[in-house]
Amino acid sequence: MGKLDNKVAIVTGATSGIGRETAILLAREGAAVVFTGRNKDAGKETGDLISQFSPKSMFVPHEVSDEDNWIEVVQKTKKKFGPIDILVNNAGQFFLKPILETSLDDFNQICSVNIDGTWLGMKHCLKEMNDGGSIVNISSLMGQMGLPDAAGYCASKGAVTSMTKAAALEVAGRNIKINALHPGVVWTPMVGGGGDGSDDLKSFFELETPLREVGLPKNIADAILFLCTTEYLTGSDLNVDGGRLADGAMGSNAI
Amino acid sequence: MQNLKGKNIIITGGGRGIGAEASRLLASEGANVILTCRTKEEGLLVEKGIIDTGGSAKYIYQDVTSENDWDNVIKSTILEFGRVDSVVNNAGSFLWQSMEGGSLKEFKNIIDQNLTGSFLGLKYGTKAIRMHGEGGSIVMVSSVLGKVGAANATAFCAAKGGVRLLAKSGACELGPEKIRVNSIHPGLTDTDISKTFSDGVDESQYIKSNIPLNRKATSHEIAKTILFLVSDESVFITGAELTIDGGMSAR
Repeated sequence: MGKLDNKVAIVTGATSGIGRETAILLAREGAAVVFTGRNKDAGKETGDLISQFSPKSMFVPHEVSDEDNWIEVVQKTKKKFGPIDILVNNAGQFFLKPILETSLDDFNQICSVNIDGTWLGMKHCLKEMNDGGSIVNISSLMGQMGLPDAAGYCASKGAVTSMTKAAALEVAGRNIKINALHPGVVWTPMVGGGGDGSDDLKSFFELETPLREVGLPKNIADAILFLCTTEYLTGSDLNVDGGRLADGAMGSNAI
Repeated sequence: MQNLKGKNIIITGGGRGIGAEASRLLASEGANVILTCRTKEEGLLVEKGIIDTGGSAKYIYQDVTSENDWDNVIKSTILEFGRVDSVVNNAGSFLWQSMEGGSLKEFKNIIDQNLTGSFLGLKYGTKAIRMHGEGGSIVMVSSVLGKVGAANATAFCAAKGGVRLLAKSGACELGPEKIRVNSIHPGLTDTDISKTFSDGVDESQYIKSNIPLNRKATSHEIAKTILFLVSDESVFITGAELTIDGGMSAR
């Protein structure tokens, strides 16, 4: 018996990292999982991992900033599994660049994936979502505080943090819960994990974090599952960051 | 499910409301629950209920503002169960009082019950967890009124706001030892404290105009959040605040 038996979930950006881990965990808990992403080969790998223990999953190639593509994802989900219970808006983009070197195209690009993608996901899934459903928007610690050379990323994630609350208030009458989850440094391909990152970078992040470790995709997936199964939490923020936000003022090495 | 098998967890204010429900839920997940409160009959009743349903529980008398009582709770727990894995600082009390009409004595009492008690729980809990060096989880039960203000609740808001940052400071200080400290911020919950709260307002009107989900929380819903924070599902979460308020503070 799983915690999500008979539920239908959509997870975006599920071809690697946090999204893949989440798709697998939700499927393990009994949900029918539609998982999406841009990389078809990696999508197939996620699908292979899920089909080892669950027949109820489907991959849909997905560019989250494209509205027609979102409509297609939702329709395919509805047709195959029925109305939606859970949406995990996980797909996101990250880059580091000083403001003076960032073009407007760069800025618009990150905003279209992180902001438009999340907004479109809520808009089109809410239409087909059961009352009592749950949406988890993956924002970031950088949607709550600043980081040099990350103005575009911080701006886009700050928008996700705020619109999560607005959307939660809007659909509370349908008993749909919408919350933001803020990962700290999680060792995924997006930040240099998955074989590309150096040990030095990892050590740097570890020392900067009160728990003296970087996160694993599983840590975030566990927290997403918690948010999907909780009944009274909405319009809220959950930090899964090893203590980084709490330590904002001093830096963990300060005495 | 036995996610907490073998973990020894101290819960203050375990005689009623959120503390009693958390005691029952954590015990049902396999934890040895050490529940404390000042009202002995209530504490013993919760203890009996857990044992009767096959769980492990022990009631110990405690005034959370007393260092001697904390020392006794920790020593008794270690004597009987061997070690401490988690402390849930849940005991607290609420009071309506206007700024001008309220007395300093009552103000200090609210600070003692909610904030000083939590500080002692953090201090003695940490000492005990350090003895085995494998880390642990400390949960502070603050309130939505530890994040936003409310008229005529200055003492409670000050105390619960203090609890929120007590948790964050504890998280920074103890992170390297894998002792996690988080706060939870319940909104209006189906408990005695919220009855005191509701004495001052028209409850159904209050709920309608202030709680987007249009109802109170159940103690069980709050207890599930405590379960998450003491479990291994939250090993990367520290210094965080979980607001379980039906959307109350999102606007």
